[in-house]
Amino acid sequence: MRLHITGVAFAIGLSFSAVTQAGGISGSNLGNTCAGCHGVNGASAGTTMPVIGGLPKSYIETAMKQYRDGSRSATVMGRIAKGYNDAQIAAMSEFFARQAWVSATQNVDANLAKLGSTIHAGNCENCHEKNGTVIAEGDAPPRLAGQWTAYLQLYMDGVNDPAWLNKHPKKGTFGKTTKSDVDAVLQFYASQK
Amino acid sequence: MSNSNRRNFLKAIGGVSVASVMGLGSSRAGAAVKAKVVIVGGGYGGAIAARYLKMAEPGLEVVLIEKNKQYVSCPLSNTVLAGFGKLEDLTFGYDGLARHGVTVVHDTVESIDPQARKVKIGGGKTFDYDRAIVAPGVDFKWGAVKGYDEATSLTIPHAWKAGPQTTLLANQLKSMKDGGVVIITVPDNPFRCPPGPYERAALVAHYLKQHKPRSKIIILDAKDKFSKQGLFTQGWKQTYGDMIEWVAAAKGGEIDAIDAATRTAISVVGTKYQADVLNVIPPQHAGQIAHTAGLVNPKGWCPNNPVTFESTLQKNIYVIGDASVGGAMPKSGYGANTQGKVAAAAIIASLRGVEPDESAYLNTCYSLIAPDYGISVAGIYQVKDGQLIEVPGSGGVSPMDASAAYRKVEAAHAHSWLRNITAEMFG
Repeated sequence: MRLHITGVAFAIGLSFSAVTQAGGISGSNLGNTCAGCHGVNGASAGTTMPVIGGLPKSYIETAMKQYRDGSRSATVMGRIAKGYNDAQIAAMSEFFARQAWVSATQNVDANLAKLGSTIHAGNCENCHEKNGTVIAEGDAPPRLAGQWTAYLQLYMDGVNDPAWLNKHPKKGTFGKTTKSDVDAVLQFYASQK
Repeated sequence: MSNSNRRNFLKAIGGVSVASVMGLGSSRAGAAVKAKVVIVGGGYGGAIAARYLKMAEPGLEVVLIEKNKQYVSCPLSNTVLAGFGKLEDLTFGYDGLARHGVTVVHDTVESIDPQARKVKIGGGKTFDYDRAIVAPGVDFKWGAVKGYDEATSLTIPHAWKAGPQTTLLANQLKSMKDGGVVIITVPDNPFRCPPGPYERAALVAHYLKQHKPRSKIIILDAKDKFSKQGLFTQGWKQTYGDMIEWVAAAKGGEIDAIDAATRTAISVVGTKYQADVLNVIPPQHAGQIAHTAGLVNPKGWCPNNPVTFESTLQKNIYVIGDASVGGAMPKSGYGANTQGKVAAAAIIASLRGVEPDESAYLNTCYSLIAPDYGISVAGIYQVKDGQLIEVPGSGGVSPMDASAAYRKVEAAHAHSWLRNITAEMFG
C-alpha cells in the first residue's frame, strides 16, 4: 500500500520535502557518543564509569550543567560538558532517561551488604528511598541500587573532599562516616538490583 | 531538490525497498529499510558501525569483512610493554557482532567497484552493496624511512599494530641489558594515536625502572611539539627522572634512515643514534584498500563530507576512522567509534531518504604514565562551514600539577574506558 502511495507521489511530482526532514538535534546521536565510556545506552561495563541509562532526565541535565559551569568537580566531564549547549544537553538527557536501567554485574560481599543495609536505613533511606532503587524526575536523588561500587566510591571520596565540588546535600557532614561504613553501604547498593 | 539530487535520490533508492525508504504514514523510527551495507575492516570504527546499523535497523543486511579472526586493541597495548598488561586481555573475537546479526566474513578485500557497488574479497567472492563503509585503519609507508620495510619490521618492531609486534618489542626489552638504550622514532603528523609514542616511552620506562634502572629511552621525533606534551613531560620527570629524553625535529630528532644490522637510527642531519632496542613508528597513510578503491587524496588520506563521512571521491562509500582525513579529530579509537556512529546514522537516513540529524562527534583518550598515573584529552567536534572543528571553549587535557589521587582516578578510568568501548564493539 505504501509503495502505491509513494508511486503516486513520484508520478504527480510532489516535492520530496514532505519526506525529507531537515536534520535537527538528535538525542540518540548525542547520547551514542557517550557509549564509549558509559556503555551502550548508558549501561556501563566499566567499574569507575557510572551507569547513566535510565536515570531521570532532570538528574542528567542538572549534572551536565553543573559539570559545564564547574559547580560539580570531575576529571573529564567538565571538559566534555563544555562542548554542549542547553538544547543538546536536554536532548541527550532525554535519550538516557528513555533507556532501561541496567544494574552493574559485580561481586557482592553479602556480610558487608547486610551491615550496609542497616547503615543505609539509618542514614540514606530518607532521600534514597526504597533501598536506593527509586528513579524519579524532579529533585529526587539518583538511583544507587545496582550502580558500580567503584564509581560510588569515587563519588564518596569527592563528597569527603572539601576541594572537590558537588551539590550533595550532606556534603561536609560525611566526615564522621568511617571508610568501613561507606564500604558496607556501597556493598548494600551493589546487592540491590 | 535539484534535478541531479533527485536523480541521485532515485538511484539511491533503486536498491532498497521504496515503501520502507519513504516511510510514509509512519514515523522515521518505525520505517524499516531493506538494504545491504558492506563494511571493510572490523576495528574501532568498522565494528561499531556494524553494531549501530543493526541496532537502528535490525532488518538491514550488514556484512563485515575483516581479515583477522581476532582483534587486538592498540589502545592500552603499551601496558604489555610495561609488564602489567596482557595481550589476551586486549584480544577480542567477532562472535558478539554475529550474535547481533552481523554477517562476519574473515577475508581480505581485493577491490571495491564504486560504480557497480561490489566488494570483491581475496577468496574470490563478491558482495553487492547499497552502501559501503571503508574502515581499514592505517598502513605503513614502507621505505619512507630508508632501510625500514615490512621484512625489517620482523627484527626492528613498529608495534604500531597490536599483536605479534607488541610481543616482539616486549621480548626485546626483556632481553636487553641493564644500561641499554631504547630508541623510539616518531613520524610527523598525521599518524595513528598522537599521544601513543609518549605513553609508550613512559610505560617502557616503568618496566626499565624496575628491571633495568640504568637504561635510557630516547624519542627521536619528526615534530617540535606533541599531544599532551606538558603532561607527559611533567609525568616523565616526576616518575622516571631523566630516564626519558625527547629530541625534537628542531634538535635533529627527525630520522631519515635506519641501519637494521646495527640498530642505528640516522637523523636527517646525519647524527647516528645506536640503540639496543630500536622501535620505529613509521610514517602512515590510509589502509591499502582505500588507495585501491580510489578513496585517497594526494597525501594518502580519505577526504569525506564531515556531516556524513561519505567519501567526497566515491558515492555511497563512507570512510571512517584512522584512514579518513577526519578534520580536527585525532586518529584515535574513540574518534573512529563516534565516526562509525555518524556514518551508520547517515547511511540509515540516506536509505530512508531523509536528511540526517545533526551528527555528534566526541573523542576521549586516556594515556598511562604509570599504572596509577593516568592523563586524558577530550574533544567535542562540530561541523561549521563544511569543516569538522572543535567546539570552541570545550575539551582539552587533564590539569597540570594534579594530585596523585587525581592521576590515579584517571588511570582507573582508562581501564573502564577499555571495558566499555570494547564491550560496545564486541559484547
